[in-house]
Amino acid sequence: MIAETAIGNLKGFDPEIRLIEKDIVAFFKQKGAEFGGKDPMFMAILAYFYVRERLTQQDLQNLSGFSAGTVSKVLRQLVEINIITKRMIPGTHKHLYTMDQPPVTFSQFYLPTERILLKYEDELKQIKAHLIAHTSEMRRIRSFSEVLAAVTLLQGSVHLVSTLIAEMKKEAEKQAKK
Amino acid sequence: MWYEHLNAEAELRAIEKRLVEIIVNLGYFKGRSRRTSEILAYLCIHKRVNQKMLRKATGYSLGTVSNTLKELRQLGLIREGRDPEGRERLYELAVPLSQQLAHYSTALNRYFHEWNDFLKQLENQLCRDRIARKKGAEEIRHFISKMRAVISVTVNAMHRLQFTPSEIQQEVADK
Repeated sequence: MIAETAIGNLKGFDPEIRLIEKDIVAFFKQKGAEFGGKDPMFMAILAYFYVRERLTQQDLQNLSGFSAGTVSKVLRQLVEINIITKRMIPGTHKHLYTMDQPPVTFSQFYLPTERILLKYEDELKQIKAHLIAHTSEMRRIRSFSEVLAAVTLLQGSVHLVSTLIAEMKKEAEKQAKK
Repeated sequence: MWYEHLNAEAELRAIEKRLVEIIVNLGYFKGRSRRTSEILAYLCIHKRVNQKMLRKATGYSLGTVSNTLKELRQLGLIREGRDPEGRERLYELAVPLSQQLAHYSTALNRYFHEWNDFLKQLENQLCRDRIARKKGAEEIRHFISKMRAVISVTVNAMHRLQFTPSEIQQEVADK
C-alpha cells in the first residue's frame, strides 16, 4: 500500500528514486513531443501525477521548478479534461489535486470524450451535406475544396476515434472483472 | 443551420471557422495554448498559408501570428517555404493531417513498444536490492503497474480493431 499523507504527496523520495522519477518525467516529455507535439511542461506535470497521484500546486512547483503561473495553467487544463480532480484541503485555503484513478484508457487524455465526438459526428455530417448541396455556388470560392476535404477527413477521424474509445471501454471492463 | 442566411463566401468562411473550433475542441493539440491550437487547425485545413491569411482568419496581430509560427517551426510541427515567385513566406504542416491520421496506428504501435521497453528498464533498476527498499520505490512500482494496465487496455482494444500487430499484443500479454 502506498503511504498516504494528509496534504499532497511530496514525501522525501530517496535521491536515487528521485533520479528514476526524473527519468520518468523526461520520458513523458519526450514521448509527448514525439507522438503528438504535446507541450513538455504539461507532460511533466502529468508525469508527476502518474507517479505521486496527489499533489498541491506548491508540491508541483517544488518538484518541477516551473513558475506558479505555469503550474496553475496546466492544473486547470488537467482538471478540465478530467484527468485530475481538485478539492479544498479542510482548514486551509489550498487545493489538493488528485489523479483518483489512473486513466485506464488513454482516451481521457489522448482522445476526446464520447459526448463531444457524438456531437461533432452529427454536425460534420450536416456541414458536409450542405457543402455538397451548394457546390455549384461555392466551388469557385477560395479554399472550398480544402474545406470540403477537411470535413471529410474529420468525419473519418471522429468515427475512428469513437470506435476505438468504445472498444477501450469494453476492454477496461473486461480487465476490471479479472 | 446557423450559417445559412449568409452569402456563399461568408458561409464558407463561417464553416471554416467552425471546423477550426471543432479541431481545437477535439483536442488534437491538447496541452497547447488556444492561440497555437487555432493556428495549427488552420494549417490542418489549408495546404499552405501566409501570415496575412492567418491574421485575417484568427484576428490575432501579425506579431502574435509571426511569433507562434516561429515557435511551431522550432518544434518541427510546421515548415516554411516561399511562393513560386519567391516573394512571400508560406507555411504548411510538417506532416499533413491526412498522413498523421493514416500513420496513427503505426505511430501508436511504436509508442507502446517504446513504453514497454522503458517500463522494463525501470523494473530492472528496481530489482536491485540496493534500490528496491528505498523510499519512493513502491510508488515507482505502482506507477509501472498502472502504466502496464493502461497500455494493455489500449493495445488489446486496438488489436480487436486490427490496429495492432500481434507482436505488440503478445508483449503486453506476457506481462
